[in-house]
Amino acid sequence: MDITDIRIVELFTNRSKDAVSVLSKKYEKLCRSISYNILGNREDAEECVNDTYLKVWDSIPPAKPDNLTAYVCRIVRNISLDKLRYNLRSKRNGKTDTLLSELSECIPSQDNVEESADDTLKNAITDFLDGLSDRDRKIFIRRYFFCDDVKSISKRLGVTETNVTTILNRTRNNLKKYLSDNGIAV
Amino acid sequence: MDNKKEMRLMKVISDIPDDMITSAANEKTKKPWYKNFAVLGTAAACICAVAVGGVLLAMNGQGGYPIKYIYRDADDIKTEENAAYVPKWHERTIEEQYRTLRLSDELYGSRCTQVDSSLVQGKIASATASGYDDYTEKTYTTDVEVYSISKVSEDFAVAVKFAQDDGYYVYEISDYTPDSLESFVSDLNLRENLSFSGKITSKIWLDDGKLRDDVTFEGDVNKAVWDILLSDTDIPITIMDGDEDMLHTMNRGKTMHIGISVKLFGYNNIVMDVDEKGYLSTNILSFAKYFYIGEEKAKEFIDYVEKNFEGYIIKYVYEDNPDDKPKPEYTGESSTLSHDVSKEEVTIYSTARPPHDSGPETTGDGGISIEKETQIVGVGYDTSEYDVPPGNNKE
Repeated sequence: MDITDIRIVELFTNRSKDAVSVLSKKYEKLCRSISYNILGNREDAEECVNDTYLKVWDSIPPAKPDNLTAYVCRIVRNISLDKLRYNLRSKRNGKTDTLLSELSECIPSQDNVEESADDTLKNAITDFLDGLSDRDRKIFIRRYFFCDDVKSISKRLGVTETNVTTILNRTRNNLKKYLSDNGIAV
Repeated sequence: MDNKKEMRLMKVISDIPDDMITSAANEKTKKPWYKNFAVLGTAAACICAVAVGGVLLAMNGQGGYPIKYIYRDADDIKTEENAAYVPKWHERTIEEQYRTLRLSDELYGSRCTQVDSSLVQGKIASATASGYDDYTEKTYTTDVEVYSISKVSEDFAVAVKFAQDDGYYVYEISDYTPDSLESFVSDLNLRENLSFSGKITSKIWLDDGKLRDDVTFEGDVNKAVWDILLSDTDIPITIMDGDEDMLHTMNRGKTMHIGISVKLFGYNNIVMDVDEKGYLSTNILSFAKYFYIGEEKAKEFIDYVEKNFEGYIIKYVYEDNPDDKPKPEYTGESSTLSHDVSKEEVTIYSTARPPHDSGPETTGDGGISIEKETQIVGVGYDTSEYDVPPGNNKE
């Protein structure tokens, strides 16, 4: 964790009034990007980013994250997913529909099998990602964690859009096979 | 819509290890080498050497084309993303509501484009059009009258009239596949309906699918397309399955992407491609169709464009990403660097290829010239957008 993050965690731990503003100065753009990528709506994304700051304020202390970037990304992502689930009950979002539709390709067809525990599924996905090349893993995470579109990933990683699409397609198929081979149901 | 499993997977992905998240989060957008200061120093030295020696460089066989920087507001892109919004049923126009039509075992899809009544000919049939409401998940139907369109094959498209609307709307057979280039041209009456944007983009695709160059030419290619590419249309379509299609797309070598429109059917700003391997292709009708016209014709057309039209390389600069802006150190003229130039187009010529006679004046300082009403913000040089070879991004 870099020195800024250590200092930010200290500010939260000491309940400093500057904690949130310093956090937002460093992470607002990243948080907004993740939330917007999931929700496709500026106002909702703004709301989720503010909720993220509140959640960080409420959780540190007692939490003392070793990796503030991952900690904040995870919070904003989960809050945005909750908001998305709420939104999906009443309206459709083409961008997220595409993302979820892609993810459905990773799910083994095991209709009569009881779903695996969260920890089992999490460990399986982690092991699977561990086995990927660095580039393929980053592409997968940029797409399904940060919810970037293919064009952004292409630009960020210097890979053609066609290659990004091909790699994502291959990775989804491999993940499905990996989960299926290990008897893990979603 | 039940996305329970997908949402669960999304949630679980939140819990991947911290180091994987930060590693992907810290991945910065790859910069072309001309934006890399270390490489830039060397490049600048090379440019000087070339200028002094009076030697003209030719990079990648295409020569140093001028670079045109176009400033874009990042919000424009966000707006495009909002296009994913699915309009509610009552917000759609009638041809957007009733998107499909079944006629004589053929499924037609709406092009959401109106056709002028003067082009509508005899009635073919009465039929039922149907539409799906994404929000209520209901399917609606309505009676329509189907007409033929002047000089357009019914095997490809028809005009549809709704009782509740005065207009005629184009519906096409979604999986229309012509037997040959000739039937493709005649079924769509391309001789009358094909128009050109006047822009042709040349790209070089290497054997491994990497993009090496991207030059835009401006000029009227109407005659050249018909005289060279479409002079002999007795050519069967080359059917490719998904894998072959992908493989070919990635191995085209030098390819000219010709900007075209077929406005009658609602196709605007699409492309007709010709590659040095002899294939002519287009995405009219949404999916790519390939015709092998031969390497000789393809090369003749490519040469024609390169010899007769002015070319330049477009680089987009995003307002919210100052890193994308050309750097002051490039110019040696930092005093001119007021960044009020945003949203202007700035064209800067490299030393490698002097501008055409009709172009801006050359300043004489190393071949750099500046268009009127623009400010110099950096020196560009003919290079590739993908100078960091895709697939070789070793950390």
